[in-house]
Amino acid sequence: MKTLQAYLAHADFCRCDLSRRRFLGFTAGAVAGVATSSLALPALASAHDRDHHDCDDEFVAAPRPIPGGVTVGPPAISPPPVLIHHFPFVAAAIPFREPSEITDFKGLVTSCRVTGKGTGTDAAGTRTRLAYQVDNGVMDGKFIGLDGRRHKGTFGFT
Amino acid sequence: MNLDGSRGTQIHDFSFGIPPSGLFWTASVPEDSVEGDLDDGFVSFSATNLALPDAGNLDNALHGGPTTPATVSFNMRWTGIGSPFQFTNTTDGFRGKFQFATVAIEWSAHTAGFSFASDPADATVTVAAVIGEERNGVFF
Repeated sequence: MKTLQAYLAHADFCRCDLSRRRFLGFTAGAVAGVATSSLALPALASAHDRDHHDCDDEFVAAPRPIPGGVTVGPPAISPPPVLIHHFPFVAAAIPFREPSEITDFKGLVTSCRVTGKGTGTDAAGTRTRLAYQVDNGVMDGKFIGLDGRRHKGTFGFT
Repeated sequence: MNLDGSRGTQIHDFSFGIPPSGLFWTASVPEDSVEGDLDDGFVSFSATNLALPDAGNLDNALHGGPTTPATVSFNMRWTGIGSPFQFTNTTDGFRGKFQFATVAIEWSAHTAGFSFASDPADATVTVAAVIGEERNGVFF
């Protein structure tokens, strides 16, 4: 059985052949306005990124966190307050804050907050109904890593 | 992914943690764990036996306290609702094409002496969800 733990320990997974089956974006015409902004990119992210072989090296470096975020403090947590580089996605309304967790990024992004219930079972076999909250998301695309180089990668937020 | 006990106090908090860079609860995952077609309005994300440390509660998680080993499995799917729209946020510095969504998730977790299984995916309550293509930072 594949585990993510094993995968994470295996860093050489440059993916330069983004699968059309695995991830299909919006139709090209619908994002033409977005595509034109490549003119504003530094040399590192210029026309070179239009082909499918634009990884700078053989493995994916860690991405940079988004610069913004929210500060979480009392009563949610004990002092001191903590700035987290994340905007909880709690309202499906425009305008909304950055749904991605990584910056210098372009690609697929999802975010959510969901709730629900389930059943917990302890070591004695006692079953208890529990409530959950899940804030999950994905980012799949191109990014500039902490190493300053271009990469492609798939990231989960959870 | 967190769980509240019967008295409403959080008892489990599963996340990727926060490295020194500040990257929040985010880590690389296998490329085939994500599938989607934005024109058809769906994205799926799944994992099996994902090693996801349990910090117990949000306070401990955000202050970098001790964690215990745990594994989490999930299968979740975003389904777009309404029409896709272009949106630019100059404050945060991102833009793209987005669609609000509903999410269905079924998940389970295991730690020493404890396991959890959610209700079926169709019982999920979506507070808010979005899918899309965006660019930010130097790509903005």
